[in-house]
Amino acid sequence: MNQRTSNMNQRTSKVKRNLLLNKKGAGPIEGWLDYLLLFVIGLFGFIFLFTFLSFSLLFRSEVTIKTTESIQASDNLINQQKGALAEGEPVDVPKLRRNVNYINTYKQPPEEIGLQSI
Amino acid sequence: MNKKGLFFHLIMFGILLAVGIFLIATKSYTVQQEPAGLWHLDLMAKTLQPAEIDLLELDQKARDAGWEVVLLLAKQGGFSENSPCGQIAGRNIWNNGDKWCIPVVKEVASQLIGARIIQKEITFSEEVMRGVGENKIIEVPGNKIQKYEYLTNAAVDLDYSFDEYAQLEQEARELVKECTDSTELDQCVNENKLSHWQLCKEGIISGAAAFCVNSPGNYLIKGRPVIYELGLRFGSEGLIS
Repeated sequence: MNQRTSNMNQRTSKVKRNLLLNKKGAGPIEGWLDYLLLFVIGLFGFIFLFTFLSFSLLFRSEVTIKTTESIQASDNLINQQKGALAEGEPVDVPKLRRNVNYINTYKQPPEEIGLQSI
Repeated sequence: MNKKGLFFHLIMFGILLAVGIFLIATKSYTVQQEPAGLWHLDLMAKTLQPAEIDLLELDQKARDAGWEVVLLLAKQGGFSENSPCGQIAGRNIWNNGDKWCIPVVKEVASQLIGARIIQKEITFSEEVMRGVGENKIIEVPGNKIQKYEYLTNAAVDLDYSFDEYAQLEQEARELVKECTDSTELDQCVNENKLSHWQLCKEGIISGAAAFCVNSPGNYLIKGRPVIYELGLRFGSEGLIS
């Protein structure tokens, strides 16, 4: 009887010990991996975010510069024709309108599309 | 996982979730291709520039109308229709004895030009022609309001002055005064006329002379010299009562 009682006590303390271990959660090596994994995920997240933002800014500034250049080019074309009118020369207004639209739409500097003069 | 790990995990998860929601909500998960300041650039390209081109076109139309009327009036001796003083060889006569019929040419020109262009109240100051236009509005459809209003007033340099008519009238009056009832009208006219006054090929008919007068200011319109065609009556013959 005593033998049985002592065996049962031994078993109970084993289970209790096991339960205690489980309560403490993962061992020290697994905890370290968790932190590393989270760190890597976070790092990649931020790398992705900042790369994305940098590219976005880079593309936007490129497009902005090109658009501004094209508007400036079309403005120059209009001013050139205003000068011609002031000098008493005839101005081909429909052609001017077409060229200005073309430059503003396709964002091409005038020298690339041969619009230096009308 | 222990409590610290779980807490850290949840924080990181929260941050990444927030970034994800931000990217989705702002629709900036694709790389932006639109330029910065798109509204301003659009305003330039879709309103300011079309308005400038429109004004350029209106100025050109006004100038062309002005030039057309200059040549028309010069050919008709400053009249928009037949002269009440009569005609000689199809040219309007400026006087009927002592009575002078020449109109205020600037007013005639103003009416004729006003009928050809959208501007009204046409005035002339030296060589510049001015006209009062209405406001025009360019409205660009879209999410953001883009509206541009501009005035279509015109001020164009005609490179010509209607003040020449005053000078020609004065010269004509002097010539008529010198040669009225002259027995040798041909000779009198040739001796007293100024160098830019030329008799047209029809010359003198029944006491009246047809003149083709070169512009005293040597004005050229589209490369062509301005020549005033008019008639002067030197005698009582053929007077219109």
